[in-house]
Amino acid sequence: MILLTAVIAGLIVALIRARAGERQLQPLRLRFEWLVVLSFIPQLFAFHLPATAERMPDTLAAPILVITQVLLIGFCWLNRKAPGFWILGIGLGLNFLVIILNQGLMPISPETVTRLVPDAPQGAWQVGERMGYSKDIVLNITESKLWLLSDRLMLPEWIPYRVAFSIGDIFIALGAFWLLWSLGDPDKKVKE
Amino acid sequence: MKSKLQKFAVSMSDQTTRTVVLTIIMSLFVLIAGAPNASGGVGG
Repeated sequence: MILLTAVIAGLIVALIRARAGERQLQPLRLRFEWLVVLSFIPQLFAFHLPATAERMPDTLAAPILVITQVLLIGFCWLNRKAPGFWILGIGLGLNFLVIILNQGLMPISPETVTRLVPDAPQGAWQVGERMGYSKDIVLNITESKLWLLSDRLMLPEWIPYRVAFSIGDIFIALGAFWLLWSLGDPDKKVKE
Repeated sequence: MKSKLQKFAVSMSDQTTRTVVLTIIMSLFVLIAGAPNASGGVGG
């Protein structure tokens, strides 16, 4: 949800830029958009729909995450000339790197889980296992590979929404924002 | 004049459609590319 904020913010800023310049948005047509839809379908069942995600074994969830990330990296490469895509690619690459080195899931430390869901019932999560039906696996910091790139960041306390995210997620948010922001660019026409 | 208006209308419609499609694609992209964790079904 937090990354969708970047998309919405980018679109709003693009509209403001276009309106300020008395111009229309210059939407670009991405290549191989179907790769995103193709990647979304298995992730929907593995991580987003509680009814199916709760029943999805880790042995299936992890390969789904890895394969769909590979498809998205391909999508970024095929659209690398579009604005913001190199930043999206960096974010995706950082997340992919840490995921592939940690059993195919994004590591999160027990300390971060405790901060994220302080009222979780006893036994709701365990070290070494996937956290609920998320993309995360709970691992001690000493057991995590490339811990710096894991889901170890959280929003400031004064923001009521609790979420753990990675450095890669920040790049993805910035890339998405940049792409949409560029639609309102007053100086140059967006290349297709 | 009517023709210009029609072209303008078609152009606007095409741009709106492309913007909506792009927004949907990018929304799906960030949803599956990112790995933020809001609780992941762990009750609290």
